[in-house]
Amino acid sequence: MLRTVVAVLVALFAVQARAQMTGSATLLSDYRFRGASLSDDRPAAQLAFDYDWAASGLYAGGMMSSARLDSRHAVQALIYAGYAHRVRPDFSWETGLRYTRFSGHEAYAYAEAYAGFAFRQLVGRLYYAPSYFHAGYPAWYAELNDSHALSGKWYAFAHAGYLRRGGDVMEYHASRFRSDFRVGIGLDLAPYNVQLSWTTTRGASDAVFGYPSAAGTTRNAWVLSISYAW
Amino acid sequence: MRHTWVIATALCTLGLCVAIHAETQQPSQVLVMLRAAPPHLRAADDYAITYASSPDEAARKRIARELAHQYGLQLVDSWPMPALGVDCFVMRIVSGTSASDIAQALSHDTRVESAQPRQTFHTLAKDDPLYALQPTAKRWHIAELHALTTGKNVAIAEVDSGVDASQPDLDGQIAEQRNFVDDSGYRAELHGTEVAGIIVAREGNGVGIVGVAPQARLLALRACWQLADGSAASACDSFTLAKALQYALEKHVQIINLSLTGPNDRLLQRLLDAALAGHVTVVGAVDDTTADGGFPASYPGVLAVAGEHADVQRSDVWLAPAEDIPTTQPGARWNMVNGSSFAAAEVSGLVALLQELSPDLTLTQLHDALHARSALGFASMRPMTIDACAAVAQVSHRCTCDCGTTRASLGVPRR
Repeated sequence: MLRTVVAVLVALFAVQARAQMTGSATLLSDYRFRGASLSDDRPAAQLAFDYDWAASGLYAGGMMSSARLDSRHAVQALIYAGYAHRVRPDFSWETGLRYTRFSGHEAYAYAEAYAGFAFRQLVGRLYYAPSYFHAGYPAWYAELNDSHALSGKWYAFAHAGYLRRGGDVMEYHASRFRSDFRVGIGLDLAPYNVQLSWTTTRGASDAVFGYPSAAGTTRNAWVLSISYAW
Repeated sequence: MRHTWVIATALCTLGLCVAIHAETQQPSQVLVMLRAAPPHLRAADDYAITYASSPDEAARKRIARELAHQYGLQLVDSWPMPALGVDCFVMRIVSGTSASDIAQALSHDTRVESAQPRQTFHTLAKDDPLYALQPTAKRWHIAELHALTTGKNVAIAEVDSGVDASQPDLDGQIAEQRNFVDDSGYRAELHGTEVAGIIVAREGNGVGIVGVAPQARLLALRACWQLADGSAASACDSFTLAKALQYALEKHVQIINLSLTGPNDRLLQRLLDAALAGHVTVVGAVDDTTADGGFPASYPGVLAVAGEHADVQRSDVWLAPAEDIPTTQPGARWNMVNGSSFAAAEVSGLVALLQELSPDLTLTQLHDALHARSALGFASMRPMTIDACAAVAQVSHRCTCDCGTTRASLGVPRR
């Protein structure tokens, strides 16, 4: 996997001559992915980079994050590439592919396609994974994100997501749906960004969706994060 | 009296000279536009930095610093222009190279979307207080028009120098004030306050004047600065004007009033294109000292307005009263003003009256309403004086002012 990541990084650096590159390093009190903790309710560190070829609308990027799966430490590698098109100054759409895998937990590797729109601060996306967390069944995820500038450098944000899996769920005696919500405030102290949010999930448990989270992780959490962008 | 005339003339001449000097000076800064990618998914989207307004801004700032270093420039300022999908960076020229040469070189750099010199503009007030009082409201029958429409809730962006919102005739009439000139506080100035009074001065308050559209929502966007105390002469530049236009677009105003002029400017042209594409009516004052009327009045789609006695040859120019206009000044003061700046302000107010009557009024319908036609129905080949009553009657389909006069203007036989 390391070779794949290095190859992708080399390729991106090779074509970055005319791209706009952004990087960020983030520390979080809990790594929540669609409401599920991928860090076993513990702190995590992330390193992300993004490339934009603004003239063409193409973009690509990746992230490495510490994780804790099945009660064991791991490193997540995530890469993505897509195309975005601005229709009007306040409206654009995008489509792309994203691929995720975890060191020492190759069985959880999966890919998903997505399409979405952005209208002013409102962002909506629909994701489709043929085999969500490599569990052998497809899953759809829809999300809406919004943010609102408050006074000075403060802002508020909110997220709502809805996950639906395919396949048989009889063995779990549970529904195939789950929703997650997140609300919070942020402080933009460029290049630093601090966020405090509260996240919760409703519906089926982590196990129904094949999440590699440890047993006993909570459904609700306060998450504090600080990121540095360059 | 003679003494006052001499002093006023001297002040006026001094003010205009300062403005003209500022405009003819070689630009010492360039504006460099870098493309901003449309919003899209990012690596940490679900986790930490989703909601930052523009996470890739740091990348463009880094490229701007690289460009400044490479071309021997000094990075001064920047401003996002989402209406054009770019960030605009201001760079000062520290070598002796001309701004146009550097802008041309930058334009060929693949990292750069476009580049241009930072140009200077000036307002079009003649600032002569010695003409006899002659209320212009009488010529447009403002009181009678207000029985039908007052421009209620129509948003007008006045891109100008600062407006005194505490002036008794403007108290409560200014929806928002923003300063795009510098980081200091908003400042009340002559030209901006004079133009604002003509558009929205409070009606029936027992003092001063009546604005053409007293119930319109005026956004007082300070993009110009007064050059000397006591003189309305003001200067602006490409960057301050672009910031104000960008803000007006963000606020979805219906009308933009530009009582100013200067050279053709690519960045401002693109912002005007965005405004016109969004069905915003842009009103520009004609500079009758230039053959084409000056920019932005000369730009296609802009309602170009000149004074009734101006010597203009273009047939697509509208004429409105521009002499002896009583209006507001900072503090509890009023004075008579002259210049196409104020004719443009009157037309902006009139457009607000029409847009209250017909919010979906297209630019073509607006032109038809304003454009007086000959008795045979042919469009005029000369600049024509606006008949406000006829325009309101055409849009409202109702009798207004003197019905006979209105019908005559519309080409309908008088009974």
